[in-house]
Amino acid sequence: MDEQKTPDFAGNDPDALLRDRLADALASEASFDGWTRAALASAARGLDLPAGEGERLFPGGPLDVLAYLSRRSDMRMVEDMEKEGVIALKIRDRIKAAVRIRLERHAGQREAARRALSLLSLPFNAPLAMKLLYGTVDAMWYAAGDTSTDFNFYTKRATLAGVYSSTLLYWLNDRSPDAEATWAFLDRRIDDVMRIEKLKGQVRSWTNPKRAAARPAARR
Amino acid sequence: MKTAHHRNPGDPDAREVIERTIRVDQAGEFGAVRIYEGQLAALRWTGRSNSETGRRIQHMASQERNHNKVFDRLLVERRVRPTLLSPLWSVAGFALGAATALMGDKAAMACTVAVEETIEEHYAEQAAALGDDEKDLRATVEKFRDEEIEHRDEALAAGAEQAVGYEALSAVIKTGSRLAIWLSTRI
Repeated sequence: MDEQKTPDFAGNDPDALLRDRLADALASEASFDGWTRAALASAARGLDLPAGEGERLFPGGPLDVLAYLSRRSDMRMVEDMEKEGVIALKIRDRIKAAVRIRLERHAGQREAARRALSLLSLPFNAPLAMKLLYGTVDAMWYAAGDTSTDFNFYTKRATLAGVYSSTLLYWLNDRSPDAEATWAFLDRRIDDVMRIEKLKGQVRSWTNPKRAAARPAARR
Repeated sequence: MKTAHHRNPGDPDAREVIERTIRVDQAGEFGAVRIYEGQLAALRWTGRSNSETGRRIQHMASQERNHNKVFDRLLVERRVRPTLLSPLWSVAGFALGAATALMGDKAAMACTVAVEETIEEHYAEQAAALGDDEKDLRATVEKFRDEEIEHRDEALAAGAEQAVGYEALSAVIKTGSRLAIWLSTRI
């Protein structure tokens, strides 16, 4: 089922173009009508697609479209980050750039995003919501050049999931020009994370004799 | 023939096969490194670091570290998530290594034989499951398999089978290794 919904840039999917157009059409309808089957049908009609074509392209209905758009946005974010050489920045700036690119360019219209979020926050949609959130933060860490292969892989993603989702919520209600308040909020969240990391490092150096020896103060 | 060519409904697709292969191999090589580290630590505690066994284990450990590095790289390159159980393998591997090395040189070698034999079988299965579209990965798996066989033969030549309770020890370690493989493939 996932094979169908994943955006395909390799050109193996003959319907890729059509699927893209229909998804975009629904995204602009969704600001007014929400992510409903009726809106999907009306978007398909707007594109002059034959009856039933919407269901064929997205068998799971609006949720399928949401998943498709989210994954496409993740891919586009990764492309943008690669194009702009984000990898040359410091880690925290790479992550900041990732969240910013994802929200500014690839989250769609705020009203549509808000409605998407309310649909995804329904309990029975929680598994999909988690999957999409994971996909987004995983793409962010991938594009940021993360090379962890142990449990850090998961702590990094979990931490970023917290930062990203709270920033997303803040952004939805942010009326400041150019969403300045959101980027300041994001800065503060990353500061919080760095503080905890620093604390963890200190605790480790106190409890681990090897590291303690490496600290200048401990060398008597 | 392509990977997952003879796939039945419900079987993992090609991408899933690759992910599982790389994930479990990275976990396995990491576990192997931890076993050898445990053995080397136990040899240090008992002052046997410079014994013949110590040098032999050191050589094997350096090869395993190399394998581990290759799979670390593949994991990142192919965007495969690592196993969630790596903290467990870190502890369990080290404990197994330390325990067998404390039991004696022969027991340490018996541990190597059991682990390498399991891994070797597992690599053989993987190589058979990978298609021509994954030639490089298959070649890597086959090369590492040959090296694991060398380790096993080397350990056998060092008298692994003369360890006290060899059969029982080997059976326990093999069962544990298979369980670890099964879990790391999925979790």
